[in-house]
Amino acid sequence: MKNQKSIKLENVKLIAIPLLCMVVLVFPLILREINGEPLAEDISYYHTRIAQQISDKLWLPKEDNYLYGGRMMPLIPGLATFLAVPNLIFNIPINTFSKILPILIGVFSFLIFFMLLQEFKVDKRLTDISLFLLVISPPFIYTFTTLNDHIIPVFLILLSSLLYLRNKKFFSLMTFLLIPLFSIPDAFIGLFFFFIYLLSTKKKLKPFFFMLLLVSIISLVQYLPMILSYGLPELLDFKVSEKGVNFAFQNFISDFGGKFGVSLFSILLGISGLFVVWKKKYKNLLIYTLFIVLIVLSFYLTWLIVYLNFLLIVLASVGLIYLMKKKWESRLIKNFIILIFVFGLIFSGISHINRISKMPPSKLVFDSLNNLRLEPEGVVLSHYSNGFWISGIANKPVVMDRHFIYMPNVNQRNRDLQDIFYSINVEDITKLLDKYNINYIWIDKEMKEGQVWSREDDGLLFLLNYNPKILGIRYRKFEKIYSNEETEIWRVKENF
Amino acid sequence: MFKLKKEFVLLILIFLLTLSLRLFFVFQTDFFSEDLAYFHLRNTENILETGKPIYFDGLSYSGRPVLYPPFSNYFLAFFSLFLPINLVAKLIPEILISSLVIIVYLISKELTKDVRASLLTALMAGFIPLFASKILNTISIYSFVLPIFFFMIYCMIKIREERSYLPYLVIFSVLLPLTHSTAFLIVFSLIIYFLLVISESWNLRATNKEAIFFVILTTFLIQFLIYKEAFLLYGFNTIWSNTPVQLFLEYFKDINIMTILYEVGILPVVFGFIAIFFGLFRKKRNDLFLLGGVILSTLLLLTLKLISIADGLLFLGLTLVILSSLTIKNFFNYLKLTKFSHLQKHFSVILVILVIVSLAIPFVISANKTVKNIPTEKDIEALLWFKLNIEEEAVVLAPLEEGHLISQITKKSNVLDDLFLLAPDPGERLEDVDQIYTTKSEFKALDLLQKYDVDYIFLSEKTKEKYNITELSYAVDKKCFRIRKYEEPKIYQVREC
Repeated sequence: MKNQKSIKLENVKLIAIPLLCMVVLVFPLILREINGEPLAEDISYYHTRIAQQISDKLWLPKEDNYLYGGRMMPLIPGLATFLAVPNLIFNIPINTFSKILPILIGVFSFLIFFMLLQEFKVDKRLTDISLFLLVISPPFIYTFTTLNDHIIPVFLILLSSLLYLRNKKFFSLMTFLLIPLFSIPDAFIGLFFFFIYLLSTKKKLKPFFFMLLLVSIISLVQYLPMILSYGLPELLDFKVSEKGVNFAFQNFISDFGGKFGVSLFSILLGISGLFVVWKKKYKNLLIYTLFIVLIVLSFYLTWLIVYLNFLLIVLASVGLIYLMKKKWESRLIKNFIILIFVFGLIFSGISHINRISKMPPSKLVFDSLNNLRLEPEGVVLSHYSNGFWISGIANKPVVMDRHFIYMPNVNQRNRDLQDIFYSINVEDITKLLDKYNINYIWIDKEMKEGQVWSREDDGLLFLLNYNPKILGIRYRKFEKIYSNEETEIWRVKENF
Repeated sequence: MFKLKKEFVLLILIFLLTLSLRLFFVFQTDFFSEDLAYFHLRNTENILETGKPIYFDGLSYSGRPVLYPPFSNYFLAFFSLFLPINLVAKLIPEILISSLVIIVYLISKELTKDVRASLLTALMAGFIPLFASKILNTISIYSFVLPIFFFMIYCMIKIREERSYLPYLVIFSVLLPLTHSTAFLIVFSLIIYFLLVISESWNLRATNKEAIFFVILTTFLIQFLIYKEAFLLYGFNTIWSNTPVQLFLEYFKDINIMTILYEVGILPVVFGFIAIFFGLFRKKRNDLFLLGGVILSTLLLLTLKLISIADGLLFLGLTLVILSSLTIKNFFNYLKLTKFSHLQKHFSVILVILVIVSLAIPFVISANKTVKNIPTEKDIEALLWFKLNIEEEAVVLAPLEEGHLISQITKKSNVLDDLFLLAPDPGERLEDVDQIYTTKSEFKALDLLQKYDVDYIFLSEKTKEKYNITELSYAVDKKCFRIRKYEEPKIYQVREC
């Protein structure tokens, strides 16, 4: 009787938890669709635009012409190619597939993670709790509800690890070698994990070096045309600022607004989990090393939190089980503390779903860019963080976007943009506008609220609003062609 | 027939005496002695109307988000369902702060097991001069914070023997951070207490450890959830609530013994420090270490200027009062061993007289001064006239000390008030407002008035005294200024010119 009950419970769990995963991942999409909001995040529009180009031209583009002056592309733009294939074969619109793909990959990644835990012979209770915590963890939710650079690499690293553990080394290798086509940094992180695994299981390091060689070759080949043309990429001499981020730790914690950030509650539980496993410290020394390295690197490369999250939720589960199993003098305090953590974790997840559903671009921004799309061809000036939206939605080339690697003269471009934004010298601005053949200026609310300007009469805003005439000097006339509550579009006209 | 023990009768009498004296002063006026009181009134009214506290205040700084723990306002709103809001605002805070005498009695009784010492301490607690200058007639948040905080201390002492106090501790651990940000003081107090216990190689009972962990965790998480937006903007400067630099030195003054003696009273300070010396350094006791934790954490935060002098002295003063019970008990125990043991009752009377002279009289003087520090009838009349005769969207300029008053009475936007957290450029505004009132240059004044879209300038008697002016000298230009109200206090309309 008991066995029958436990089998039934297992079956229920087997269905319920993946179902919960799907519901959690679908929810932000549903909320955005209800509110008429377009695809979240700017990088999505870059990938969908390239995918559309691949689908239209039936060929991999060598150059991205949506950046003024052009920009060389990697040999195989992995994600964009992956998005284009269903459109080419089954006629599935790229836009639709780009919304569904993260969710599908998320569910598969979730299932593979479950299988990985089984391979590591993790205790059933720990597995169940880890899966539940994974599903409601903000990094998992963000990664697999938006079209970003890491969805496929994460999935491939998990799959490759599973195949390796199941002794299917050839398929594991083949799977892993696909990663550099999607993201080279992710590939090297995957190699780092492999290295730690081999060290901790005291296996030979030959496979690691072999894979390192292959990944390096593929990475080199991806960027070979660029390396041959331009040499090594230009190092940035400016700091890349993210919208709304004031402090380094802000990105690390989702409750502070970090997109990839982990929940504060999982950090606290993770710390308690760490204390529990610390008892076997020398056995797990390399795991701790990996954990610490990931934490430190995450402050500089925020996306590493996606990988850190898998480790953290297992530790958090250990911590939670420890709290549940521990002998408390006061049952009241025990129940309250566990409730606080559980509700806190769920709240962090729900809060993150809500945040993703409200992520830019908003409907107003989308409408504005659709309006710009209808205008004649021309280069658009805006902050680099808007670059992908402008090129992806308005189908217009921009002066700068967030893809800095191999952007021609990236530092000079940034300096020129700063000069245009902050100068009120009409002659200087005119020269720079001519330099990049700028025909439009696209301004959003964020630019006026501190991202670029703090006051209504700062720099270029002053010129746009007051349009000074200086006799005898050739000047640009700015004409506002569109505005809504969040954006303005100005046409740059030549006038003597 | 229900017979009350004599000690409870005396305790109730002390409570009633404290409450009556406070209410006597409070009901001498319809108005409040602190500007922030008007914010509490407005927030409570908002809860009554919408069920929610003010998250975005359109009337403060002409529009800004507000971050203020809402429990106290919900508490007042609950009673306002049955009684008029102004009566509730006058009555409830005074009842709560007067209940401190009971809490102080309970803690002292636990420490000393001596009824006389505990009652005398309770009497002292009712008349701390600082409680008249800072908490009387102000809808002060400390009317809520202090009873909750010290009741939690009482629960922490009691749970060593009686687990029945644990539910109360749990409930108040959630309520305290929802009341005010000084809840973090309990976290520091418990941490220092824990460290003191470890340093003596004592073993804390598991219940106490769990309770400490729970209080720290709940306080930390609730405060984090409430203030995370502020942390995003200001980082650790959130601790100073975005206080303008000009006021920083005034709010976060250096602590000195004269300030403590003046604000807390000579008796509690002397008795309290004697108790600290004997209790912490000679006869070390676990329950004393808990109070020692409160004292040390308060002193530490005051020294590091992480807590304002006014806030710190409230906690320090009350803790010293509680510790005084030990000194009083030890005194009477010593007396029993001497030839004067038959004079115990006389010494009790002498102590009561000392309390009256050193505490009650300064309390009354301070209370009298506090209730006189209210807006004048003429100010209120002018502001009511303003509310009825001026357009809704108007922006009114008043100094910092009248910001909330303007918003509450006139229901118009102010330029500046003392809720600095998440306020736009309070330091710059403070400087500009001072300039507007003191400058002789019409051009400078107009430039600053236009910066904040000011439509009207309110010039009360207090403002004139503050800036040592009789009128706005530049406002004679009829093209740019029009006097809307000639009788004092004057109201100037700023015209487009």
